[in-house]
Amino acid sequence: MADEKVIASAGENVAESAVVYDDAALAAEYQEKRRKQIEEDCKKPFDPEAVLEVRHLRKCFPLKKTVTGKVTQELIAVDDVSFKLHKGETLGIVGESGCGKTTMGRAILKLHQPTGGQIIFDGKDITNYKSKQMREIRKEMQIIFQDPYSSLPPRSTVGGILSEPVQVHKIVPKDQIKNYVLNLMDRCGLRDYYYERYPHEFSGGQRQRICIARALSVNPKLVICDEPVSALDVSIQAQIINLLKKLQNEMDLTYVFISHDLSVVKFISDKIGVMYLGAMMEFGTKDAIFSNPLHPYTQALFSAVPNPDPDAKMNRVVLKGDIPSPANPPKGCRFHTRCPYAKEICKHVTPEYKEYEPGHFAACHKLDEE
Amino acid sequence: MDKQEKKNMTKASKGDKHYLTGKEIRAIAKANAKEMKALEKYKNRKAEESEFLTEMKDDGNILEIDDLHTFFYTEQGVVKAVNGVSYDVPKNSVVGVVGESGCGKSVTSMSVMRLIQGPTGQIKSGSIRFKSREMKLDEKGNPIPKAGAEGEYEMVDKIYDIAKMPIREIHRIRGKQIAMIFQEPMTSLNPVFTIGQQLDEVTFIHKPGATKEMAKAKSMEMLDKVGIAMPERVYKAFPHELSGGMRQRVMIAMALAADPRLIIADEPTTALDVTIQAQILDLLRDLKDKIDGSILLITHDLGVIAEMADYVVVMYAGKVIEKGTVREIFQNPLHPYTVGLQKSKPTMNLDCKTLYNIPGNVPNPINMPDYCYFKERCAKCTKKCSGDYPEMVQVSPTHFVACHLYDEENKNG
Repeated sequence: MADEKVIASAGENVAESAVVYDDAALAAEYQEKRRKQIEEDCKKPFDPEAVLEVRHLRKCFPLKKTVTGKVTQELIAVDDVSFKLHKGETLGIVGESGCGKTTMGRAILKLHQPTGGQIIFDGKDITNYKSKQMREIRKEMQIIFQDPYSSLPPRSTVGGILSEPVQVHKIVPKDQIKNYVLNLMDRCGLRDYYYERYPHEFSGGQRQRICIARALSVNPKLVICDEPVSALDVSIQAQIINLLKKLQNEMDLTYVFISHDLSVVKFISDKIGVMYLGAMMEFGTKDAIFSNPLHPYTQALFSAVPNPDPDAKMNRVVLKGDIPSPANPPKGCRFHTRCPYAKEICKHVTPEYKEYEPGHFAACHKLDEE
Repeated sequence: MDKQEKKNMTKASKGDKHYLTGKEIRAIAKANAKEMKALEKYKNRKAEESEFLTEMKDDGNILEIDDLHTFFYTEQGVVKAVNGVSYDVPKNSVVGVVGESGCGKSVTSMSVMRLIQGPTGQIKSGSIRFKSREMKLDEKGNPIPKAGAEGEYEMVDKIYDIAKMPIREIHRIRGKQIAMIFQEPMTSLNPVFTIGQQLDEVTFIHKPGATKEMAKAKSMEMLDKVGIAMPERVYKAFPHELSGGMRQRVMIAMALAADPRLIIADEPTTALDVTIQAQILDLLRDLKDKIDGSILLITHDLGVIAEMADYVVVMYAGKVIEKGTVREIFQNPLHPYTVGLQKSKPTMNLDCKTLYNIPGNVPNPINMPDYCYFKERCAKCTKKCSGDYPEMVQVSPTHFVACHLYDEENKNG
């Protein structure tokens, strides 16, 4: 009964006070609908052109357990994220801290076992691969971490760090490893006499170059860059971004570029996904997202970036309040607590993630009205 | 073949980096100990007030930093973190200091607060003149009440040279006249006390004779001023119960509680998200008009500077390389480093294939060259750049730059 009323309100925009929302029934209905949708989508054939396809990815972490091990409360770090990525493309993921962008990157690499959904890499469904099967795939997908100071082993030389993955994955015959590594170092802008040096002798930018060289030493197809430049200074940042772009052209790499810096993401990406509290809020090509941001969160995020022009006229949307706790996300639309356009319906009904323009997805009730 | 290769490599690496011998290390330690002892003694001396009172060069300024040298005496040698920095903070304005990490922008502000960690870190020379506003005292040392206004006292401007002040006298200024907002709000709040206790403490220390009720009223007023919706609840909360943005608001409230004349904000938004950063910047911009004081804003984000500051100081490797008004720096940047810095930051309106980048790294702070520190990374360097370090050249009444490209002779020739 209540459900019908809600649907009527969404369509015809009835006076809001007249509608009574039954949260429990709405949640049950939403869950059921989503379950069917996921089941249906997961049976679809794989896209042969896509390097990476993520369908309804979900990752939960248990917060509280009973004595018997049953999970009573969980944190949904990534909730229902789907996208497709073709060869040579860069996907930029933006969002505030705690929105699940890093967890998503790690779940794609299966460094976290996903709780639900599918990850299709290169035409293979790797969601339920065992660690032994994963070992074959590992050399195809690599990660670059944020902090170059803690992601390099302090007791091995640069040569050791770079030749180990080559040795383990048997990329080249043993006697050619050294030449291969030196060649790689040259491409990443590292001089050959760095071969015998240790990580502590380098500055942040050089270390990040070593991290990049290490990730690329196994000729991967997909590289997940988890905030690779946010620990670096502006002038070094530009060097690393240019290097990543150059290597992408040379080696035909596909990147998933995670960052909170919108200007960097805009520079490097072809497609952009905006995340908030674990869910994808908007997804589309760079031009579509920047010229026509649909979701109010994307609009607010863009206007919050400081503009290095003292005369620029500012028309800023400043969001009120803080990002809610992901352990206890708001009901209905996750963003309604901070949204400047929030209405009654947003507090109760979860908006559907739909395609509004070709290739441009968003989840917002406001768009349905228009 | 392989051995030969290895030999070549180690040779090359030795040429590239200098390792210290035991003898050299001992010599450095000895020299350092002597210097540090003398400077520590100077810092801890007793002195009459007249010794560190001075005069302002320009009466419109609230802070004048003049040829400041702050050194760190490390085991590898002397790190000249601040090497001859001069800039002014005019009354009721925002001065932005911008530079990469390690350029000495934070050390300069720490020197102003006299928070440099001794005995390794010392202010070697230079002066920091600060105009402080204090209660006028009669001969017995009691404040003189202002005629006609109850509870208010006669005020007087005193100009201190902070660099020459003995450390025991610094309480006249630190926290009261100059307040600081730090980068990391979690580590700068005490986790075992409530926000209320920590805020009240400021009033107790700086307003002798304040009662508990007065302190609480002041704290509540400050929490309200920084836009906290439920001051009563935050007053009773512990720091861990608040989010990053809220903590930074509390830090700002704490800095404002003693009505300072100068607020030093050291990367106030670096640890925050973009949307929270926008909130805090809005707040600071709002406060700028409300309080009767100046803000010294230290950041590496050019966007933040452009939005907030009236004057900009660009620092590189412990020196000021360019300073001027915000329009001069952003619309007519002169020093190649400033130009490069602005070009290398991708902006929202940018459309190009590759980013401009400044090649190379900042030189090693221990063995600074004699010539311009930016020479190795500079695209415009000339023969003259191998000579002395360039002097500050005045381009317009407010615009200064330290680069040989703008020397008088160059212009004429």
